[in-house]
Amino acid sequence: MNNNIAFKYLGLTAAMFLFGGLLAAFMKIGATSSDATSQAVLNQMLTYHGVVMSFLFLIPVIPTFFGFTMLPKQLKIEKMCCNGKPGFTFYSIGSLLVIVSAMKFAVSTGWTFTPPYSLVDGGALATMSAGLVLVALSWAMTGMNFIQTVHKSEVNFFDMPMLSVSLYLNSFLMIIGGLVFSIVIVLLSLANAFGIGPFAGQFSTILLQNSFWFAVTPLLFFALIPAVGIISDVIAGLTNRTLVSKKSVTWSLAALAVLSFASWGTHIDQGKTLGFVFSAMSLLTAVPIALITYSWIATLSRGEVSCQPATRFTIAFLVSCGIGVLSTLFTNNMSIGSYLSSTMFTTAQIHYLMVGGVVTSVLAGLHFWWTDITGKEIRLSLGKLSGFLYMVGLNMSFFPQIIMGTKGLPQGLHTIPVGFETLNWVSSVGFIVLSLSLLLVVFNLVTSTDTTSSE
Amino acid sequence: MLNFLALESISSWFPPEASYQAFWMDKAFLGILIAAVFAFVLVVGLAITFVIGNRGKVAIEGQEVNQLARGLWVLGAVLMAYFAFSSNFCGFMDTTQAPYGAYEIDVTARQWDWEFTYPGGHVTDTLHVAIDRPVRLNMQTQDVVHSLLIPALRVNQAIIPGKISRTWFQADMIDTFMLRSSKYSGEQFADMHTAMITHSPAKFTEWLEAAGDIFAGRTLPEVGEILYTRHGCAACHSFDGSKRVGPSFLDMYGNTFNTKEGVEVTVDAAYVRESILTPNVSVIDGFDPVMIPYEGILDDREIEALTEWFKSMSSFADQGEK
Repeated sequence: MNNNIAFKYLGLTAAMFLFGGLLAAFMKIGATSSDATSQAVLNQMLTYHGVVMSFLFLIPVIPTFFGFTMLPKQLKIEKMCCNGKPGFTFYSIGSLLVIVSAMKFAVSTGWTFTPPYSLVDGGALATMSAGLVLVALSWAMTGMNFIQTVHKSEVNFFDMPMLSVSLYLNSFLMIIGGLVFSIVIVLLSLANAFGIGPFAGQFSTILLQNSFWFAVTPLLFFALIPAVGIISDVIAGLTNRTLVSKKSVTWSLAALAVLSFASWGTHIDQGKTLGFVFSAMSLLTAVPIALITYSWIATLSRGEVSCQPATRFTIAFLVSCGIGVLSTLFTNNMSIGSYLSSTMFTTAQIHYLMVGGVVTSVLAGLHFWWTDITGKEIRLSLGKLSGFLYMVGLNMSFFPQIIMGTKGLPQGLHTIPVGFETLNWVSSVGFIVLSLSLLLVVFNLVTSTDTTSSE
Repeated sequence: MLNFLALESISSWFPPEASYQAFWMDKAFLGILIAAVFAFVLVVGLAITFVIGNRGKVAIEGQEVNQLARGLWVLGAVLMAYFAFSSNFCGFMDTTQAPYGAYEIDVTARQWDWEFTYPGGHVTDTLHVAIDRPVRLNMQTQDVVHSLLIPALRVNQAIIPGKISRTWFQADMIDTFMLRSSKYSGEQFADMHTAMITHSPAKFTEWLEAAGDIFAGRTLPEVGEILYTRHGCAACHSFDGSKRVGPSFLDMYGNTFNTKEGVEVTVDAAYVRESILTPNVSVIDGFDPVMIPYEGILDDREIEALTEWFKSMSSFADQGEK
């Protein structure tokens, strides 16, 4: 059955999340302890936190778990087109290589690999890039599998639940983005090891930034497309009705998928004309986002909303992803955006979008569909409690970083400068609350009991 | 450690506004913030209201959409996006082009420090500027990507290898402000910060004259040490006895060495002078003749200062006096 592979994927992505999360915890402890972690060690932790969380967790987590469990159910078919095993093998070997590189050839280039800094230490990137290429291939394989499966299905495209629609659209992003990403990473490690190829030399900064963000913007920031799919289905399920004006949500997701390939250059320093073009392209996403939120609110308004853990997580999604999306209004303004670029504000923004958006939607989906998928029942009160703690912890962790950013604190410092201690303290407490709530969620899911329904 | 930004209070989100450009940017930020908070409260507020308020209510059937409400909703989002796009448009265009006659300072960024060169050739590691006068920074990096961040001026300009990145500002507040790099650049990135010190125009001229004359108020050995740092002698010569490309300056003056040709020389004022102006004529054995001549770069007084500095850290100093 597909559930088997889905749970293998869930286990591995969760392990990656744990690894990345532990790195974040070490960075927090290091920054506040008296004998601070050296900048060199922090740089490595920062690099691996970014690489592991983005490429090994955030991009694959929704498609692999919810794709393999929910897609056959939603499309009313027996099984997926392919069993997903080769993709899983690629993904696990790739992750293993990245972890090995962390232990043996730790890279400290930062997860965006900006040259010429990423070109020092010849050959250092090789192991990690080999791993990332395998992972990128596994995205592409998963994407092709989903596209085939959707095409095979008898259900009309506009009648499909939103999760299926979003996974179908996201598949194109994973294929195109994944292939471009692997080309970029191979060329970069060639430049790093042998000094050849387009990214070699002192002056390749802008070229690499353009290539990298062309691939990564759709993959990462628009990993929110399947997250929107989950939340749409959860809202429809909670209210026990079809989404209001579902067609507009479908088209909005398609528009987001298209715009994801046109908004990569917002934060690259390449002149004011291009800056305004990319700024406008990014802000155009306001229209599809407005249509989606309108549909959600309209759906919620039309009747009783069942109150369960998933409801809490849906509200948490609206709050935190809302802050994340609204924060892009500031960074996409040319004047404010140039001041805030590479400060803690952008750190807070990516965490609000990725944790607040992607992780929250995963939690909402897990709580909502757990019984459907496993046949087991979770504790409702514990689920609601963890949902509440999660929202508190998340905002306490990342909201202080917004203020740190507007005050002009750059990303990636290994110590907390004078004047930022209180903010950092609040953020650290929030991090503990957030970790606690996630532990509660895991405990709740693992100890869920068999339902006594007639099966 | 100085608290450059005076950031004790959490109530204020921003560092002080030390230029009119900062003032306009903060205004734009506040405007967008109000719009964003409004949108946030509307969406989340409605969602929570319906989740709580619809308990026990009979569901409304049907899928028909209130076209007017949806149209207004989307129009609101578009207006908000346009507002975010156009806010402080003029302020941004203003920052892209420095006014004619701006005071020009060359900035060199490297792993992991800053160097500021003033029109007279004077070099500092902190940025000094006069208030109420436009200052243009012509910035270059010697290695990787850096970014000049001065929070009080809301200036954050990336410095890309291979080109001169420019920015300008007009400070209007006399104080000491934080200046640092905001682009991650490796091991000592966190230490890549210094200060921007603003003066009144009269004080600035005074400062530049005084600072430009390194002999004022200093003994000759002190000047020698400044010259050692300023001219990059440290790349090849240590003053702690360790061997680099060239010989160390510790215990050098007055000491006797063999040259490559086997001639015995005692380092005295004349030999120091010769080794600075025409360094590769008489090279001490064990080193290669690779030094750049400093003819025309260091004047007599500066060479004298260096000589005095060498003397001050040599235990053979009296032998060179013969």
